[in-house]
Amino acid sequence: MTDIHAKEQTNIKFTVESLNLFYGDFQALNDINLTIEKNEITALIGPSGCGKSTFLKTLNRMNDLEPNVTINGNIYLDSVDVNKDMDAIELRKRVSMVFQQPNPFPKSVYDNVAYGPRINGIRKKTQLDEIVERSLKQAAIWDEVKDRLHKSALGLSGGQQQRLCIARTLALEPEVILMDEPTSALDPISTMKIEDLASELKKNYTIVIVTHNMQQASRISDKTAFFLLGNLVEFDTTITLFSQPSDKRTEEYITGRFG
Amino acid sequence: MSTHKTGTLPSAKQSAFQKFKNEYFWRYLIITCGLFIILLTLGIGFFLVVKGSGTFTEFHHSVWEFLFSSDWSPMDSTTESGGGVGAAIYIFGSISTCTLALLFVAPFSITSAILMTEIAPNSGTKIFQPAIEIFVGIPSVVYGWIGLTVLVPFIKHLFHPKMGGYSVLAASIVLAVMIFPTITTVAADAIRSVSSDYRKAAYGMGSTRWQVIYKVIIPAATPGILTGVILGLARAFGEALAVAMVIGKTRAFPANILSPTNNLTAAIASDMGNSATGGEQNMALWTMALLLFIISIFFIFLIHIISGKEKKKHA
Amino acid sequence: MSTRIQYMKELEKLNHDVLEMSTEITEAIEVMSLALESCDTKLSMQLIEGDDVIDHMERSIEKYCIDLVVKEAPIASDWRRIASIMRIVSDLERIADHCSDIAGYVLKLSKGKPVIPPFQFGEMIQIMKSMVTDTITSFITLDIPMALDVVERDEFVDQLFTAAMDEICDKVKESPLDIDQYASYILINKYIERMADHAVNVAKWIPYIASGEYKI
Repeated sequence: MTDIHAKEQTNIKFTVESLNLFYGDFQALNDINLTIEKNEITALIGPSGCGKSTFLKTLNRMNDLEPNVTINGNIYLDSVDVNKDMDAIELRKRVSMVFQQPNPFPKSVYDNVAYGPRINGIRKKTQLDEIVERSLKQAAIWDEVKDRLHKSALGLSGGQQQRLCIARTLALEPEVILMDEPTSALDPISTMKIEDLASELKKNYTIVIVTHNMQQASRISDKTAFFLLGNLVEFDTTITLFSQPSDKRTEEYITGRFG
Repeated sequence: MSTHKTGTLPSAKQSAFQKFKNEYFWRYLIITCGLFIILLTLGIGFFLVVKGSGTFTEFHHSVWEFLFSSDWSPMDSTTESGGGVGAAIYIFGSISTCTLALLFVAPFSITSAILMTEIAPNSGTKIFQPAIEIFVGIPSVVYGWIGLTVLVPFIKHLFHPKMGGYSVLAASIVLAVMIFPTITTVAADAIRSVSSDYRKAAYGMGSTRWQVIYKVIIPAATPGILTGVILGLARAFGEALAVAMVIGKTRAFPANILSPTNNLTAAIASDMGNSATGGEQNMALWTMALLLFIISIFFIFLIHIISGKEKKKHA
Repeated sequence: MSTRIQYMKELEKLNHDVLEMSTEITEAIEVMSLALESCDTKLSMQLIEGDDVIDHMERSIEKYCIDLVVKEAPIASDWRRIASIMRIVSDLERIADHCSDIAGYVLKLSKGKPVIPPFQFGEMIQIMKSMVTDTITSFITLDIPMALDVVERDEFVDQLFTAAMDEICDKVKESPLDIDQYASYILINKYIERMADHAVNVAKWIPYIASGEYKI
């Protein structure tokens, strides 16, 4: 297990200290401590119900939208506490999220990508055009949609829709992109495209990805965290965790002895 | 017929009959019921067309006169003809009261729907929803009665109109109250059925709650909301009793919203029983009924187009 | 709750096959030792013919490992074991090859004039035999100290190898006409030393299987 770095170190993006989360009386996260580094892909793995998605959602306070959630502990984004010293709306513009089911709005491709900039007050068409093009290019989908920008986004295939959702978050120029099982609902080729995209994006963004697919975690992530029943069992570089895990439970999970 | 002596033959025959009974009996029964309904609907339509076109075929009036002339003076006897069958006043009465009702109620309905589903969903389901459902159950005559005894005097007291409180305004308000629950429930359902995926996506990008509502949810729910509006409009168009009690039943174009007038449904309701069967007035009233029927079909058609467009978008 | 039952059976089979091969190897070394001692042609022929069986075992285990990786995508300790086994069976097969090579030279020696072998051979073969047995044991029990001890013992074999070479050279200088026989002994000397080296190669994988320690 890595040590918790001092908050002043500049390569750390998130520092999580003693995080506990309760849904009513049920404890979903138990004393989580870890750090997420900049420009890396950190994967969160673990069996269903282990708390990895819940943990992901604490990073952009999406848990606030659910009733009866209590959080103790601290989460620092660049040394600022996200719960106590930051506005949730502002936080989510810096830490955006891509979901398991591709969920483009029932609007045109253009309007989907322009949504973020528009709610931030950008109105000029030339500016929006530029942002839309840049985001779609970054998401490696520009060539496929440039001739149908004003047609409904719902006409795209599942894999394309997911890349569109990624483009949508990129339009906000976030610092962190959270991905909650982004390829679970997609075919293998689309999955590969999105994995390639993530590996490319990490040069400019910090990425945290929840995945059920261990090969995916080992392929693209730099660090991996293994969650079990709300506890962080092991957190290490990916190659170490997958070739010589220190905890027996990690070994048993990743080799499929239980799941 | 074969003469096998095995024990199987009689029971085989019996089970074939059983099979027929079980499979085909119910199937044909259901088909018959379905066909009956379709035939009934077609029958009503056909009946109205036959009856309603009598004005044009038997009494040789033009459609133009019926729709645009305000001279309503049909002969109420089986022998005479040559009176005026201009239903323009009634048509205008229906259109104006329904449009005004819609203008009054739509903002309230949509905001109530938003309140119920997004702002206060808990009290929405526990208090608001049952309250609205009670509204729906109140009979039209009660609405009419309250309109008559409370609203009309109130208008009279407030505005001192020349003709008393019976007016387009009164009718519009009564209609607005009556169609409010229809539009609100349909709009609320439409909003509720907007996939939570869109909400998640919008919040995930740092939208405020209002941005999520007016930029994502309402646009996505628009087809459903429009459906609710049209259903409300259809109901308003078809409402007879409550309107008749407060509209004033005056055969004249209203000078302003405080003037009384008349509309299609009130006219049919009050005059149909009195008119001589087969006479010109009677025929003309049937034509009004046919017009109402056509307008209802038009509304249903509109709703189908809107939902069809929505289905195409999501396909 | 246990999952991947089929996979676990496959891993067990793999272990079993490696043990079977190891048994064959230790037997072959025993036979080779006897054949060399008594210059026995029958035992030598037996060894040469039996080498095919061991070659076949090695290829079959290799293929099994490759198929297992494709099918089951093993990771962590499963992967370390499979990756190591692929290397280990290669070294084991070489040990068996060398037994057969030595048997070939025993046959050659039997055709010529009997000559006294270097006296170091006895001890070299003893140490080498114990190294092979211990390395196989440490593979089964994942006994890291035992494996490391095998690595250390190689030094003795190397020293005995050098001493045996010196003795052979002295003997050749004394009786140059026996060069044919002594040439065979030179090669036998080398093979014994190589067998010890292969045992060391196998031993080096044991810490990796046990704890992931991979020394470059």
